[in-house]
Amino acid sequence: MSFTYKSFIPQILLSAIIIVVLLEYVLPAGPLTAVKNELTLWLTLIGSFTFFVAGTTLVLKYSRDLIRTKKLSSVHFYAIEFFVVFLSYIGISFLTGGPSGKSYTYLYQNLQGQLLQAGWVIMAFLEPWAAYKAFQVRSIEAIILAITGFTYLLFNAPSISAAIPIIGTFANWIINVPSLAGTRGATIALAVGTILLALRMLTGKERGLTD
Amino acid sequence: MLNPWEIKGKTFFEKLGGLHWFWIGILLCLSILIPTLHPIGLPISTTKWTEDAYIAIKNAPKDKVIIWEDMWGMSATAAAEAAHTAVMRILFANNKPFIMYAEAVDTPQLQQYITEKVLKTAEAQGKVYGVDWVQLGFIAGGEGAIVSIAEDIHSAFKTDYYGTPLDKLPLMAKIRNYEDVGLVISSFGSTTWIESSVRQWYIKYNLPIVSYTMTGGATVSVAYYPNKGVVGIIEGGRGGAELEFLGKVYGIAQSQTDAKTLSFAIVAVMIVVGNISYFGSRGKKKNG
Repeated sequence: MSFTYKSFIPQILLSAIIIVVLLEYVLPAGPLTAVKNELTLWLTLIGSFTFFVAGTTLVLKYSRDLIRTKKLSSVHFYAIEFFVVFLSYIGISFLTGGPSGKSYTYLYQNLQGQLLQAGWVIMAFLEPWAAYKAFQVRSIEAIILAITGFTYLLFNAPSISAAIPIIGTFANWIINVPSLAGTRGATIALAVGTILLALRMLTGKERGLTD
Repeated sequence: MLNPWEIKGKTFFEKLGGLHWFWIGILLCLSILIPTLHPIGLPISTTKWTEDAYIAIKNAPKDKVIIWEDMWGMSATAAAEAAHTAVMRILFANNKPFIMYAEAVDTPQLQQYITEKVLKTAEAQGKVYGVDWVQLGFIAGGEGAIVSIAEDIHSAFKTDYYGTPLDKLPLMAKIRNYEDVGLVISSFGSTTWIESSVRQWYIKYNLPIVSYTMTGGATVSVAYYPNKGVVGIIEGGRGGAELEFLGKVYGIAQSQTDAKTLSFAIVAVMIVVGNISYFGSRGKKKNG
């Protein structure tokens, strides 16, 4: 019974869903379309529910941190910080017209938005130094990386490519020939891999999904 | 290397290679800050990608609605602001009704931020929310969400981002499913998201897509351009500057272009200096 409950029923459900989605994709619109539409609606519902699960998991984790850590430490600080921000956002959202309300929007755009951008700025601050070290042509691979990276960097500096058009021509060649070939190769490999994985799922050989 | 004043190495080339990251970062910050405060007005060139994207938006069928699926978030405002603003202003200027929805949780905040800015421009004057554009908010489910929206947008969303029921928005009466869509603008960062858009919007329903992305996403989008679904590509801030120029909707992109040119030039110089240092140090070691 345990095996049926844990493995066999999920496998049957999974296989049935894969067959419906695959058939609907290749067949003209028909009765299967309505089934697939209902399934995708469920997918968005489950997707939305995962945010609730994520929130609950975080609350449990930080609650445990607060209760179990006896000595006052940075663990308490992080947990309190989490609860202050978490409860503030929820409170403001409920009290001032939801996430589209003025207070929530102000808080998000001027606090979280700025902090998120600050993360990018710190990265940008270190990027030229990383380029300084990473683009040293120590091997054949590094030479290719340096040439393509250097060209594309200059191409993306709009005024440089306007002043020296050959940079644009070379950058276009890089993206339209070797890069495109690589992308298509990766896409084809991914597609073949996905088909194989789907077949394994369909036939119940991909145990990790239902076990 | 915690001390920025400490320079490691004995020879000139070794010292050049041991330059602290702090000074390079400071140089980059100045190259961004100065032109942002005082735009220099450097020239720009336009690419075929952006020109095609502009033409696709301009020539989108008037009797149909443009769907703008968006994954950009507040963290990428610096890169997204120019192109988001330019796209929205061009849509308004050409009287193209559009519906925005978000595939990432903080995208609605970015859309709201951009909309507030765009509403102050000349192109947005006389435009009415619910008639000329609608903001639907976030939907979970990734590619599955596209399927739901394409098949029946009224099932996928019951209200807009502001909580208004869709049947109270006149624009939503014009659209039920993919048959009422004229163009899809798919905007995302450096990911392979365009493959989902191509699979669901183009392969299934033959709808043209404008890919609005960053460099990493552009390299994937180009595999479907120009006749396999993607009809134009807008590449981040650079694409935004080009769109401003093409659509004559001038905004912040000019100062960004100057900053981008100067900062990228500095990174390019650093790559050259890094290699001079590397080969110089190696030569000395060999001779020694």
